[in-house]
Amino acid sequence: MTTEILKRPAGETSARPLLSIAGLRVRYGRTHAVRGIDLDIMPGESVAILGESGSGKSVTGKAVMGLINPPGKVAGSVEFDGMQLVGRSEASLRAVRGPGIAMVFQDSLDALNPVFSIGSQIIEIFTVRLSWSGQQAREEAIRLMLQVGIVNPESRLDDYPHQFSGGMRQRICIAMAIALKPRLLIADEPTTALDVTVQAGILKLISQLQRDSGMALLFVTHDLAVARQVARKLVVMYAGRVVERGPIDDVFHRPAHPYTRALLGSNPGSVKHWSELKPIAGNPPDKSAVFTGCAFAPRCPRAVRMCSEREPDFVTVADGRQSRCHFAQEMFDGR
Amino acid sequence: MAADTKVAVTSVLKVEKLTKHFGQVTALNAIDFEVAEGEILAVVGESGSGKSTLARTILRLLDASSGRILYRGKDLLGLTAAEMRATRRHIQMIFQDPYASLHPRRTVFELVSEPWRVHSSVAPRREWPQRVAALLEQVGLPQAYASLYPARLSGGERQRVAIARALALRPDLLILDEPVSALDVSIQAQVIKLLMTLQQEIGFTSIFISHDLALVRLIADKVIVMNRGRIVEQGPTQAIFANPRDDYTRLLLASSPELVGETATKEQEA
Ligand SMILES: Nc1ncnc2c1ncn2[C@@H]1O[C@H](COP(=O)(O)OP(=O)(O)OP(=O)(O)O)[C@@H](O)[C@H]1O
Ligand SMILES: Nc1ncnc2c1ncn2[C@@H]1O[C@H](COP(=O)(O)OP(=O)(O)O)[C@@H](O)[C@H]1O
Ligand code: SF4
Ligand SMILES: [Mg+2]
Ligand SMILES: [Mg+2]
Repeated sequence: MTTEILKRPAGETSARPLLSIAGLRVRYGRTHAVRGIDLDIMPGESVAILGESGSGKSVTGKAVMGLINPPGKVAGSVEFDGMQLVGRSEASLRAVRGPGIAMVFQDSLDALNPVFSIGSQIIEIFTVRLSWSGQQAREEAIRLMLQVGIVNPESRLDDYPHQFSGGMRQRICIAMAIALKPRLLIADEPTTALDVTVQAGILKLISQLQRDSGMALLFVTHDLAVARQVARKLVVMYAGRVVERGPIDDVFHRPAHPYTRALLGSNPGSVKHWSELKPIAGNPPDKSAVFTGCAFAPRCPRAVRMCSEREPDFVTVADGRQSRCHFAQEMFDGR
Repeated sequence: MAADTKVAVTSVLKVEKLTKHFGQVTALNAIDFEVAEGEILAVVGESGSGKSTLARTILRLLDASSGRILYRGKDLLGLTAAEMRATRRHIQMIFQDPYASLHPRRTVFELVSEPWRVHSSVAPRREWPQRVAALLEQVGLPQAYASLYPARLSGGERQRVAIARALALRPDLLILDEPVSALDVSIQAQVIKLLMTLQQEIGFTSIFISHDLALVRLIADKVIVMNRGRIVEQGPTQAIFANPRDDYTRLLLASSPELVGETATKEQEA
């Protein structure tokens, strides 16, 4: 793999993934939060991870950032630009965070320090990480705040987090995340706590930044309609595993996994009347359970005996389309 | 309630010039609307627009500053505390957060039977086990759940318990304040379908508060759009969605992400 990197001239769009996750597992004691994720993100690509609450989306994002703390245990491989991140020292991970990978969290209040002004928190990124002068850092902070749509940034530098609305705080978190021009931005449900009008603005901002700077995007959400706004590729998670992946609109129009189809049927945007809603039967699986077969089997309308006995592998149903189901091809063909 | 049915009133609830101030803030500004028998009225608007204040003021959990709230022709604001307590039996509310609204130290049985402790004439104590069992069945929960504490239940299951409890008094008017916004999309569908099926079976009238327009479109007969404590537009659901007249309504509609049609990303490309 390394020889390949050397052969490729810098700047040329390479066929090598920027991020490559293989067999990623995260365990907290008996809780299996992530049970084996495989996922590649190409430079500049926008990917949405979709899954219900507890399916392991946030843990996946944190594992990529190297933010899983004990007693959490990480196994498997996370390669960023060819560099293995799993098992790497905190000091060397810190160098990757920021210019390599940056993350925006669901709750902006968790991400910002309440006792320091917004200005000092942004300025610090440049003075500490890039050893810039205070004046230069201040100018860049103002430019960033403008870029994410904060009006009159000079006059707001000295304000504290609680003096901003939720939407503005999330914009500031985005500003801080993109400050060091990351090559990959992970956004973990950055708009779930916000109003629709505010959400629309933030989604637009993220899309724009991603396009203009060419950074790759990993967008975590449980809302299909939101995923469509920002991502080209979709990865569907269930019980800590990827069950389907492909170009987002293709997956919408022709799901190849029963869980994806069920998710679509339960989305209010997909029907005309409430009676047409098709909720997913049963409950999400127990996180401490160990599966011998397909984790979706107890809730799957299509399940047969084999499903609970043997775990399905990924089946490639079409170019760029994969589904982890014994009946993937039949699903895809509408049979 | 029985006596009032003779009176010629078509609306279950009629709110007139309802106003609520919190100090300097006018949370409700001269609100006027009506809900007819069996109707589902949706109240939409952004956070802080006054939706929850409206629900709480109707139930007199908050004191109105001025206006009238006519429930089957009677002004709730003119009732004595005792009269209001008796009336509350007919008007039930379900809250947004299924985690906060159920007492953690009470079993599901205690939670569902609790309203009968207050309104003791509705169900004699010896009938409670049977009635709780029937309610659990109605909301699709296993009987064994009666002895569980809320901590053991998922968000969707907790909201079912809250629904069972609200139905325990066979309400005439049910006010739902964002009943599914704390739940996953797949669980939302379960709870909405349950609520609507029960509404058809039992026939209660309801006020459904939500900021999710995709959902409102599926269930409401009429919609009220609120912005900064005022109603900026109201009308039949079809009309509001097909032909919004107010700018704020248009903004709300344009901001809602959809599963069909163009996405923001594609617009930029074009
Ligand atoms: N620090 C932790 N300690 C123990 N268990 C954890 C920890 N963090 C996450 N988990 C567990 O891991 C599983 C996956 O959690 P995760 O936060 O990734 O879910 P999610 O898909 O992001 O859900 P949501 O949509 O609710 O944010 C859950 O069962 C969760 O309880
Ligand atoms: N107990 C209270 N004290 C002071 N202000 C309040 C109180 N409750 C609500 N408000 C204010 O009233 C307005 C409407 O709030 P609310 O009804 O909760 O909005 P919504 O439910 O539409 O999000 C907001 O400006 C809010 O800050
Ligand atoms: S493998 Fe079987 S149980 Fe799993 S999704 Fe496919 S049909 Fe359903
Ligand atoms: Mg999460
Ligand atoms: Mg509210």
